[in-house]
Amino acid sequence: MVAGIEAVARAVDVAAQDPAGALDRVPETMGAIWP
Amino acid sequence: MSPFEDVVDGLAERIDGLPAPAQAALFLAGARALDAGRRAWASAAGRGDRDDVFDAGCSAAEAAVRRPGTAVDPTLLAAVDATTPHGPTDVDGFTAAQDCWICLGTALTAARGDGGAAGSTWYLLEPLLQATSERLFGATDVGSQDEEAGEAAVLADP
Repeated sequence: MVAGIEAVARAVDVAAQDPAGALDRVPETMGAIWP
Repeated sequence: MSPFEDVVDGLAERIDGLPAPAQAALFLAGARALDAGRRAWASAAGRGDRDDVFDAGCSAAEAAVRRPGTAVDPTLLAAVDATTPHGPTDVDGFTAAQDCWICLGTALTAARGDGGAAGSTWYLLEPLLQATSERLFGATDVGSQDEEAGEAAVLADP
């Protein structure tokens, strides 16, 4: 669960800096939300 | 407020401060991360899960993220909302599938500049909360106020 929460927090940071980049890095930034 | 709600509220506050394209990107990324669950549930439920609507929604949201100002057809958002499943809930993976669709709808809503994306933060983490609860306690519902200790244990799970 910790990894998933951190993933969302990290994805927020990535999306804030580079929205399109967040889509290119889904497994890296959000993969942990899928059990 | 439960421990999980505290976590969600903290993230939602940050998401609320993002510009609309970033919100759209975040929730589209969430929908794509949960897509394997959506497909698995649809297959197990014997439900034709309208991959055409899902894929069209993803394409429209992605276009709006990569080319801000790209219009999102409101009928597509309506189709995504109408396709978001409400059952069968007793087939494993229903919550992840429903949350996947909700994330896509939120991405499209944000891409249209309609606001309110932060209110969907819960759905990014709900599938993992349920899966972790089930693994630790054999039940998905440990989120009530009476079970805060259990929820805290779930939140502390690596």
